[in-house]
Amino acid sequence: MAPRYLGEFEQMVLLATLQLRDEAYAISIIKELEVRVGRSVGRGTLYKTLERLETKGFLQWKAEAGSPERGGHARRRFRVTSRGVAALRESRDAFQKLTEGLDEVLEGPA
Amino acid sequence: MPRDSGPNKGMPPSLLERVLKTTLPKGVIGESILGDLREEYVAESDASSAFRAQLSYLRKAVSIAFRFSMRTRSTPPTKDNPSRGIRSNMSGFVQDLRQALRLLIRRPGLTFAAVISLGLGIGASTGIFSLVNTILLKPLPYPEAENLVEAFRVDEDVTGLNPTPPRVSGLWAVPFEVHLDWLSMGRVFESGGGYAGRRVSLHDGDSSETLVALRMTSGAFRALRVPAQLGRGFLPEDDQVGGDPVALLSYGLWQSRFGGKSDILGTQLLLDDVHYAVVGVMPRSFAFPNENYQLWISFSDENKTSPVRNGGYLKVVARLAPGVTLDQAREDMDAVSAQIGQMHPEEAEHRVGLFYQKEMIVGDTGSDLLVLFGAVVLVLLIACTNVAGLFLIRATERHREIGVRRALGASGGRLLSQQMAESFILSILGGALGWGLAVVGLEPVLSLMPRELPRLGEMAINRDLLFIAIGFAVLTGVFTGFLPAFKAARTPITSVLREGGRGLAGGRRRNRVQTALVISQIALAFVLLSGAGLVIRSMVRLLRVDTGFGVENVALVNVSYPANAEESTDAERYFRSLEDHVRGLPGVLEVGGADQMPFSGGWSSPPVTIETTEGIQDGILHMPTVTPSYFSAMGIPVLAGRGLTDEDTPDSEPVVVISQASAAAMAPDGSPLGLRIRLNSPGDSIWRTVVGVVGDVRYRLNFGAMPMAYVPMSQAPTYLDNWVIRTASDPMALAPAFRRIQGELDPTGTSSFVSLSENIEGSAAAVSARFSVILLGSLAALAALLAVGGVYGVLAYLVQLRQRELGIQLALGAERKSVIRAILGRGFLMAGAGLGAGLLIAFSLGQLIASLLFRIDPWDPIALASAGGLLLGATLAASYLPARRAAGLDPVEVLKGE
Repeated sequence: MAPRYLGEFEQMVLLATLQLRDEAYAISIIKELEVRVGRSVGRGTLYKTLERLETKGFLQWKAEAGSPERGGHARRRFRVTSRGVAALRESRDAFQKLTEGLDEVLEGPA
Repeated sequence: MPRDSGPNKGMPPSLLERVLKTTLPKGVIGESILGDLREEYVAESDASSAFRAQLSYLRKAVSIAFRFSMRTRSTPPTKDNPSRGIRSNMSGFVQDLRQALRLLIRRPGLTFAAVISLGLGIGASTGIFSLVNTILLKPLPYPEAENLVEAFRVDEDVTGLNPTPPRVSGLWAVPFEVHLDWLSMGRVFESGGGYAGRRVSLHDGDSSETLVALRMTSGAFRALRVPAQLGRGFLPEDDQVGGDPVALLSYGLWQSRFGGKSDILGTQLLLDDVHYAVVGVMPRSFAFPNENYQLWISFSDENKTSPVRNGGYLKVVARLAPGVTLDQAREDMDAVSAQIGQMHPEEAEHRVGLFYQKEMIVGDTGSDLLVLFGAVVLVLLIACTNVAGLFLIRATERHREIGVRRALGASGGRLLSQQMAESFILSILGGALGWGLAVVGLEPVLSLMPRELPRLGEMAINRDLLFIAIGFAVLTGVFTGFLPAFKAARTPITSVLREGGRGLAGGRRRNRVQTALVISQIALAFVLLSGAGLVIRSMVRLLRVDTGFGVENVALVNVSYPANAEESTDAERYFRSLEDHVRGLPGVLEVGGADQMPFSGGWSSPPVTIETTEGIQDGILHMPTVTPSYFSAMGIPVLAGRGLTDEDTPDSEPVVVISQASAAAMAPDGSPLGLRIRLNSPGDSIWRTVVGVVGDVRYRLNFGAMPMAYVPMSQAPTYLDNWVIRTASDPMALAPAFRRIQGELDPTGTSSFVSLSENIEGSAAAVSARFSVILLGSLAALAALLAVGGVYGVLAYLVQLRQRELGIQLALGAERKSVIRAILGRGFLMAGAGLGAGLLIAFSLGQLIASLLFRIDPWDPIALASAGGLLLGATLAASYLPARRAAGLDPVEVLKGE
């Protein structure tokens, strides 16, 4: 299969999901992105991205029963699939290849 | 919304949640997103405030709804979410909108015509409907205003026993003592009280200003339940005779006269000769009983009550106790009337009339407004029909395209959606234009409104106006889009493919629908035009009414009296000396005076005892006090006996001069001279002998001649406010000379000049007639323009459609004239059918417009015929352009083009 590269935001969402391990819910993913990258994310964008990653087979979710403060609404716990991990790896490899020899530029004064 | 509180704490706004839900996928995904938002909402409202949490929720919901409604069509349905197929239709509509927009931009002329049509229709409807909404539909601006009632004294002579609100409105008929009885004996009122208007002079050093004040009891104030914005309202102790007089300022007066000073409370106002302490300022929205009133003063003067229980001057407002219906209240007040009748036998005939306050205020303007509203609805209908017609033309052009798409499997629903998308865009644009027109036009149209129209002050450019415009836009969108959409959706594939490129057969069929649309437009336009014709003819009649006096070159002058004219005899002396001086001015032909005048202020009609040729009767006469020269100054002819003269003095026999209407009532077959009239008032009950008969006059254009009896000023001295000066030329040119003379006699005196003819033109009847004419006239013109445009559109389209046929005819030697005739004939037929249908509608609606008309039949043949003629002429003119184009076709070019 031809390598599938991920969009920047898709990568971030997948990485945040991995970081959160068993605690990867939509809200915690958002917090993770805010805390680690300092990026505030539109709700619509996040949910659409989650949906897209799921369609591409990079993410899976499992429904959990909702607590009273959620009005009883179910909660989805996300998990990165092995395809998702592979895609992340490909993206990172491509990134590394492309950044080789550019240390001077990328690490020098902006 | 209150912060951090309310029943919703811990719960996101449920409406928002429900709306959001409709845009989300069904199943666990949608559920979990709602759950996420709710969880965050709870956390945020705990951490900061409910308000912030709501804002944040709103922001997220918008972001999600936006993203999820933009879902692309390529998303396949999944097991988890089978509703994706439906959702793709949603995005299909978005696509349809895009395509519709492209189509509309490609045909700017058509789009422009449609948007203008709709904009005008929606704008007019929005404006008039917001009037209807403000005046008729919205509750009065008081808390629980539906419980407010007004109480009247009803009797057989003055009001009739079953009066309607318009009949009694304006009767200040309740004596103070009687209203106290009603309130103390009645058990159905929570609170209530009396009020009466009064003009007062506010003195401030040397200057003075006339203000419109309302005396009101604390009960009346309490019934309204509107607290003062600053200070306090009226309290029961303010009603005590001998208590300290207090005043409440209107917001407007507080701002304009006192600069909105916050330390206004306690300020003393010298009103007439009494000091009033300002105890409060009312909020800006408070306008009781209407926006003319500038301040409210307490009812503490000692002569508010009189032992005589007639001579009422109060209106009474009351609030029904909780749970009491108007019918129950009426029953209770009937019992109260019976009780009062036992205590005061002379009042046994009186009853209490109770009406909802809103009915009293709206009065009979309701029917006039509804006629206007009906008229704009017709205009909107014509505009919609017009746009639907334009769409049909478009649909015909796209006939082939639609047929092919159907053949390729497009469902009827898809085609319907596409067509609706177009009308959706147009109606939004039209609605925006209409709203803009309503916003821009509201101010100028309001300035045309008769000032008597109630609740005008509440009209404003506000959210209501926007909602109304949106409502009309949605309606028009559905109305204009549905017919063409339906046609497109039902286009049979085979017929299109059989027709080849010519699109003839389907075109013809479609053409029939279009012709029907145009005929109905003409019919509706005819209804409006004939209505406009009727109000125009009615206005002409109104302004031509014989008032009974000479209108030209007469000035009405309102003159103040010197402060030292304490007795009415002083006033008379002052009047006579000023009169002598004025008479000497160049250009002055005659000077007269009266305490009541036609077309100026109100009048009183006291009960009197009258000698008639058939015995003594009780009745009501209108009795102004006048100077001897009043008749010649006004140009009122003396028909029998004599006028009043300087020989009528306090010592000579008391006399009156009566009008023809009175003469007819007193002596139907003989001469009234020598018969007598006596006022039924305790202070003045002498018999006066009739010595002359003068011509009838009208006090208002739309009133009949009232029975009058003129009393000479010398025998009933009073303060005559109205001067009548007949001049040789422009009466207003006299003002400077008059003021100079007045200044010599009374340095602080004031006077206001107005010409009698201006007063008549500015009278309520004339203003509302003009208003009807302007509004109905412009609506009718708009309707006619739209309808004629429709005729043009159909015929032009027809010519284009039949180009080939016409080309062949011309090639075969058909005369150009006959081509023109055929097309004109077609236009004529449409006009004829439309007029016929319109005539039927006009006949059946005639009665509705009768309330706007003055002495003219709603089926007036001249109005109907001129409307018909105008429309027919315009239709033929509109038909001529396409006809000429058809006749000018070059057969060779046309056939080559095939």
